[in-house]
Amino acid sequence: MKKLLLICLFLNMQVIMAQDYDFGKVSKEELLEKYNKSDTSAVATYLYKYRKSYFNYNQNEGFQLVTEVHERVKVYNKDGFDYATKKINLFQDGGDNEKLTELKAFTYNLVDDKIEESKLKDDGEFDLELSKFYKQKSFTLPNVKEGSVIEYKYKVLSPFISVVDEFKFQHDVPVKKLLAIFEVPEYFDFRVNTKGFLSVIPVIETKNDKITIQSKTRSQSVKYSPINTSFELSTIDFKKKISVYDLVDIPALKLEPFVNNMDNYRSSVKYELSYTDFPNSPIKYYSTTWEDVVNTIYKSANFGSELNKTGYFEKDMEAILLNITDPLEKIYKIFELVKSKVKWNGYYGKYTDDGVRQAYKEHNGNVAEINLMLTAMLRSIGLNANPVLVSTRDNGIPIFPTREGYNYVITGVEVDDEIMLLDATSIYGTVNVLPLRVLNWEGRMIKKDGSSVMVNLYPKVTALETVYLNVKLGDNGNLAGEFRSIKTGHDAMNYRIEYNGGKEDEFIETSENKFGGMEILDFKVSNNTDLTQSVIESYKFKKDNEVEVIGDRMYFSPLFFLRTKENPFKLEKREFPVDFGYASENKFRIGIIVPEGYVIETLPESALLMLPDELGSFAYNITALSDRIQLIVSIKIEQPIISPLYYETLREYFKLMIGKMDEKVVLTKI
Amino acid sequence: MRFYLCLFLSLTLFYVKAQKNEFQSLVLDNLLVDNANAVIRLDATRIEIANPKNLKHIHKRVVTILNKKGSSHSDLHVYYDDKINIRNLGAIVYDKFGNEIKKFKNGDFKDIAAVSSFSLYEDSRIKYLNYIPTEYPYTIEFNYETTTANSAWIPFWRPLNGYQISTEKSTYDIVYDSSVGVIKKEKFFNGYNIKDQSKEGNLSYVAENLKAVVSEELSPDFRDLSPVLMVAPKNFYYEGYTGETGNWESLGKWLYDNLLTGRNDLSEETKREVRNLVLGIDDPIEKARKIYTYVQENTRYISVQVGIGGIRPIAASEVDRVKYGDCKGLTNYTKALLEAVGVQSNYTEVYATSSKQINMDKDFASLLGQANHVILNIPIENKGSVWLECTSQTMPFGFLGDFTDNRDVFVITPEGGKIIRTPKYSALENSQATQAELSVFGDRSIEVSAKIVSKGIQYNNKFHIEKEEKRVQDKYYKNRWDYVGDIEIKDMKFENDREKLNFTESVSFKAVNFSSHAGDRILLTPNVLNRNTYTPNRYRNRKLPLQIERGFIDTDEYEINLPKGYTVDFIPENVSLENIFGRYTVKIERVTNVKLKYMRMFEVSEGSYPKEEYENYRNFIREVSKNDNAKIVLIKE
Repeated sequence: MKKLLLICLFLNMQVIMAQDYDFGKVSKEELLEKYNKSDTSAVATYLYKYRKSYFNYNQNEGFQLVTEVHERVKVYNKDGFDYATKKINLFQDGGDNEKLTELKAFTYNLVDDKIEESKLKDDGEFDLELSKFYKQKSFTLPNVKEGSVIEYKYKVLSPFISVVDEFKFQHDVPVKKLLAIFEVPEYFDFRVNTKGFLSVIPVIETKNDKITIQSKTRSQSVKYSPINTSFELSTIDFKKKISVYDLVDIPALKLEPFVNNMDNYRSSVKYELSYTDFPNSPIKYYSTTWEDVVNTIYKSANFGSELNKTGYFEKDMEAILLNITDPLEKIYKIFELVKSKVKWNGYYGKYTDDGVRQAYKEHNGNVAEINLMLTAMLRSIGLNANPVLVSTRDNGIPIFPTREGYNYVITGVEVDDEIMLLDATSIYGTVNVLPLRVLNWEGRMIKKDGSSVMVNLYPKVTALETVYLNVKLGDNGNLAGEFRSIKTGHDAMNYRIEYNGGKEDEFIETSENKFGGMEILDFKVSNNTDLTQSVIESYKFKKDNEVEVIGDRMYFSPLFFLRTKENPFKLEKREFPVDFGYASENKFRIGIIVPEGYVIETLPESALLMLPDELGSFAYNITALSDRIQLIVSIKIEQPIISPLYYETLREYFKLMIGKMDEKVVLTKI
Repeated sequence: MRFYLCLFLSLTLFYVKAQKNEFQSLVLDNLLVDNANAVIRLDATRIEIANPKNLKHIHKRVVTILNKKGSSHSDLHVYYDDKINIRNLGAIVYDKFGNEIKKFKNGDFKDIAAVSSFSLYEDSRIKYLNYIPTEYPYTIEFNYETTTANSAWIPFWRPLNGYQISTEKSTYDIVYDSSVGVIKKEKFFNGYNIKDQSKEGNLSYVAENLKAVVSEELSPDFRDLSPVLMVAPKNFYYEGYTGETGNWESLGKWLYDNLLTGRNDLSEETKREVRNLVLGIDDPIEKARKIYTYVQENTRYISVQVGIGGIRPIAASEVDRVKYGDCKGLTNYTKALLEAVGVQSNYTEVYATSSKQINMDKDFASLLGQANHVILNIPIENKGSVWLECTSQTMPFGFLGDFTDNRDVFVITPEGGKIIRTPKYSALENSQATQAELSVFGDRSIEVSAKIVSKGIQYNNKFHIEKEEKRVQDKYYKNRWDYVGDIEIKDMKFENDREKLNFTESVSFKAVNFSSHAGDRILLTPNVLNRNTYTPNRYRNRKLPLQIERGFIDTDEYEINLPKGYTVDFIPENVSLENIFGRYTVKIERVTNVKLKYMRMFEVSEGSYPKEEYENYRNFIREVSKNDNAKIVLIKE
């Protein structure tokens, strides 16, 4: 037996030595490296990134989650110096807290062909009390220069066994070698959620392990004889499952514009506890399937039971619903009641904080308090209303069943087989017009019996903006005219947030400057607070700099300041979907009166551009009648999300559209 | 570049008992509501300094928040650290009728670490309250008292808190013992209703009905527009040190003797190393250049602020060991290295910010409250000074850039302190010269190959591009010339001459959506690379003076190759504009039938002007924009 052990150890050591990832075994080659050959723009690179999380049994405290970290970082240039500082947040709740121990860190430099090491001392370590819930341990290494290699290791001990930090494989800089290990005793069952573009498949093996327990036995051989206390060591054997991720040359994750949340694409694995099954105790479920996830959330005291409380709002509701019979009108009234009674405190959450009752009393609450209250109110008058779990854009897309996958809740109410979605945290949101943060693929509606269905969160109705522009051209090329726009859906919501958020004077001034120094008169807005109607904005304006008067001719784009001037898609390639948030249509109806003494020499041709698969279209219709030009333009984006497969087409479409809008009308002096 | 612990807290308060309905906000004076998002109803500061080691600060502030934008003015926070005790912390909310609707006590406040974004660690903490209003307007009263043994810093009185907030009443009282004494200076009081009711041992001011100011483009900094009472104790105590404030000279002497002396020790090894670096060099400037490069190559910026460390540098030997420090530590380290090679230099405090040039007050010396950064001054006999920014690893030697240029700074010498002005970069120094060849084609596309040389502040604005990722560089040019339309960059090369301080960009690109078509004609804007697309905002009624912080001069010279099959139909006339703000000229020459030459010069000088000039300046810029957009018309042969 002893022999066998020795051999095993020996083999093990060999492997480690060959790889040179032992702590402190930094090589000259690593120090000499001037840049990362596979990514020359990298400011730094993880030469080695090791993390092992496992469970340790302690007789007094039970299982404890241990995470060992060992990282070796190459710093290529000054922009990579940030990697010489590490910050680790440690969670604390009541008496329980995560602890960081066994921190060791060194900087290595090559000085006169010799490796010089500088040790991290106490003065480079900091402990910060961030808030009630978080402490932060940070350290910064000494003697860091361009070319340095930094290495550190530490352990985090955590009593919060159900919370295992995400294993992130892809980072903002490349990783040369990554080793991630997760060891789980048979008493725990974890669900594995993988995301990102890299293929990461762990090698899984099972090993035996044991827990040693010291027990105390008191015995008395004969009555009235002295009591003997004997200590006994007993062992419990168990199996553990070990998942090993061994990856090399992981590319950096680079930011791309118009992506709703870059983290959706970061390669990572998240373990979520689905149940625990300890000997001699009943199985405790956390989550496994979507049904379980829903069940766990629904049964939580901060969710399901909050839906059953009704007493606190009954009086107020009766008052506003007097003599109203139409269910749609009732929904509207109740929606407005919640919005006016309880203001959103800015916190997300699918669970209530202080509870619906308290929120109603205090006039403010988090997302769950507001929307669960709304659901309960709608239910109380017999409507089929249900909470809809949502993952916000910041939270990423929930691909696998996890409790943490959802971080937000809205209300869905079914009337005549149609689901209407409501979010009362947004003052200017209306039925089916949800704030942008919520527009993230699908939500999950939980019915009264605990079953659930998926609900598409994107608006079914296109946001429509119609602009009427009547322009009279002066003979000096200056414009005078009238502008009128009608907005619905998300366009209306965004306008209301802007307009109602400040003073009208400032709003006008911003509009004037947005269009490059326009002068606005007789400004009027209607329905800025009446959410049942479209928002209408109208004004008279004067503007110069839109027409080129060159010699005897005038040249101008007949869309004037309304035209799109810039292609938003500047990159030649793109890997991620383009996210517009919601479908939209912009219509421009423009009438132009030609100045006296001028005739129309050239008009741009009418045109129609279509994106494939009905993703969108651009129609440009221009006609002229002696001294009048009529232009009707319609720009449609019919899908909120466009796959990167269409990217090149989309970019080309924008290019052609912008080119068309730029084409000039030519007028000549008679 | 970053700056250090800024002990500038916006504190304003009072100590009168609030009575019901006093804080109704249904009916407010129009003068106070005009342009305001919030109104300070009562703001009182009372500071009691019984002796240099005992400062008590009583804060009461009642503010009516008129709308959502005013929310940030509720200022429900207080900074503290282990030397500051907070008592009687609380807040009361009143509805628009002045009825009390909610009360918050100490326990309702959240307590978090207050570490600035530029710091890794600071010992300062913050208690704050996040109140969610249910309706506007509402009024909130905020109270606390703090006591501390550190008396060096007395918050300055700023009865106007910022843009778009008015003040109904603000009072400021300092009750001080004769063993302490205070000095003060009033600034920008003119035109405001402010009364001085001070008497011996009690500094007392009251301001009433100050109207809200709206922020306007191209105006001086708010601190140079709004009333402020600067105050400092004559005798102070700070983190174990006692001192006396008199003038900059004596304060500088005190700082030198107490906080800088003895911080310059270096190991013999390091001294030897840097002496070797300058072997054979006599010129102090050349020596300093070597040392500066050594510091840039061997250190990095990490900020840690604890106790006296907020104003005293870490010892040079410590920085030498760990190779990092904050602005104080790195500056003091550079100073020590220079000393080791026989070059004298001076530790210098400055208020650093790129957007505005903020002076330290020549006539009012205070230990704290006027600076947020430290740089190094090397006096050169008969040649003025060389200035070093020691926290940057990329700034050229002797270059301050827009972070600390052209302002009064506090230079601390062994003999005492003095106020000196840092160098100004004039319009002619901030130059950009562009030379380019443009080829225009009949299919609306254009090919461009350009060389652009930037100096001075324009160097400052651009030299970082060289180090960016290719992707970022690509995007930078697409944004810089966004009006050209669908640019594809072909090639980018950079040359950063750190000695001569000029940065050269060689860029070539193709753009497919460049010119406009109108029947048989092509309209093209010859100014491809330097079109002014910015017009200052229009104000119906400009209230603030015009300030142009920095001047510049741009010259452009392009050769334009015309497309085949087209001839020139129209060329814009030459332009020449000149006024108090600057000059602008454009000239287009026909070189051959197929080649044109475009020449442009645009110069703007820095300067301050009365508000009446704003519209003239705006018109000048509009005229420039218009001419930058002037088109050449080509017609099919």
